[in-house]
Amino acid sequence: MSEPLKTTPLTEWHRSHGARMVPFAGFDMPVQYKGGIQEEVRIVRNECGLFDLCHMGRLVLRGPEREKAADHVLSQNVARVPLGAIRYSLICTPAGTVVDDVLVYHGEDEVHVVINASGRETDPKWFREHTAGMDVEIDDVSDRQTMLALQGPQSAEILQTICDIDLATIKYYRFGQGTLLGDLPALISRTGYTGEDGFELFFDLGQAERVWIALEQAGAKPIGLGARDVCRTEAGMPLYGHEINLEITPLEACLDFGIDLDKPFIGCEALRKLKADGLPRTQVGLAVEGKRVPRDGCSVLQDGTEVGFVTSGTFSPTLGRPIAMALVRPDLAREGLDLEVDVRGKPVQVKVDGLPFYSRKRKKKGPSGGKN
Amino acid sequence: MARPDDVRYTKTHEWVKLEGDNLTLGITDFAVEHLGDIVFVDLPDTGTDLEKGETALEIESVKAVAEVYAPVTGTVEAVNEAIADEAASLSEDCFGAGWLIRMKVSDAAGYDELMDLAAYEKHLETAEPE
Repeated sequence: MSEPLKTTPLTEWHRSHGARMVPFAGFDMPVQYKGGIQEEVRIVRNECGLFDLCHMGRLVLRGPEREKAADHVLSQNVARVPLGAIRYSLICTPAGTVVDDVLVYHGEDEVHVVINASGRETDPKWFREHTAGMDVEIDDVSDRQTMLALQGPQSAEILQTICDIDLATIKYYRFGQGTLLGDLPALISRTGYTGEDGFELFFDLGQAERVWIALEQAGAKPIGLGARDVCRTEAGMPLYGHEINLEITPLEACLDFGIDLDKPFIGCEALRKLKADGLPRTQVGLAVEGKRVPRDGCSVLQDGTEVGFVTSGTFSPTLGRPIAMALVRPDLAREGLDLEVDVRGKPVQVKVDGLPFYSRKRKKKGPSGGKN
Repeated sequence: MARPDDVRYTKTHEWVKLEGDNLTLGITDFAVEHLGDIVFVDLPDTGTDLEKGETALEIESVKAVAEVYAPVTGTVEAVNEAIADEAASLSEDCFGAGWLIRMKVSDAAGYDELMDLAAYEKHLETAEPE
């Protein structure tokens, strides 16, 4: 890599607390701390994990045509999202494939869009190019704002110790303004990327370490990107570059809940046509026999014929077995169907399984897994 | 973990103990730490013929898979079944109870180029994680 890695205000803290650092989307980020990924997943599932997400991008849309602009670029019907609510959405190409997936926050005077780290360069450009002529300001606040997440059943209790507003008033996928540590204004949302209850916090970049340390002292434990990826896979959530990308549409990735095909947006015509014509592929979960882990890119086979590929795979510490997501021919999306994955030349037996693999409302699950 | 000085080391962080034409292969504490949470060791069948440099086995951690290479040419004579059943124990004693396979060496070419302890520790100073 020619350019030096970017840092967050917490990079030095991670290094000095035993994190193993890796390059991720141009940032020097912690993949895990000393306890290891399995321990970190356990913490998120049972206690409270603390995540540095300063590498993710954030856009704020202001001006009279902010909703119109958001509704042109995003697949979700932003104008109809209640004020104070948050929705999952896609940014699509005219062909209906995916530029990025985002969370859109419908505020009274502003629309906030949280984008992936990989989209920090491309998404603001995309927004500006496709809303030229509209009366909207696209403010990229990524470099001025801290983003942290607290995830796990103890998140509300821990965050409440440093936060002035009653967190019980912020429901799932809602946000509010609060004050942290007595004097720091922050946007607080009940969102996350792990399948657990939790919050994401947005506030002044210079205050990152102060809040991080306060949350850690209140009992939250630092979690790296490794456990974050395992948790989102267990929860069946898509990761840009894996389940969705410039060659996969959100309909194939079963992300219909983030798409309103009844309104115009970039990519909507292609997606409508695709829906009418029938999808060539669809996302499924795979329950894996044995201990070999099907990884991203492995071929999925039926009777020796290639019928799809794995988009994400990991060992699931929560379930104690490997899990994988795959994109397969739509007629094969039948739970319990026997398929095979070519794991580096070795055949691994799998069964089509429902997603998510893990849901916090159904913690106990037998080895067969899935929605039966 | 104290690294033994009666074995040889590879650049890819395997350790190799040669006694006559009997060879024992394992991975070093550096490799164990680097792999993170090991969940599965995919051992070869006994009787498998391995060429020098060929993949002898794979180690799966939560987020990645690592290949372990045959340092010389020979035949797999024994595998550590205990490791296959309980991969986590590999991290506790990688130079002892955590051995991976035993081979009968048919061609020891390449063994002399392997590093001794001092050379390996020097190699570690320049080893780039990931």
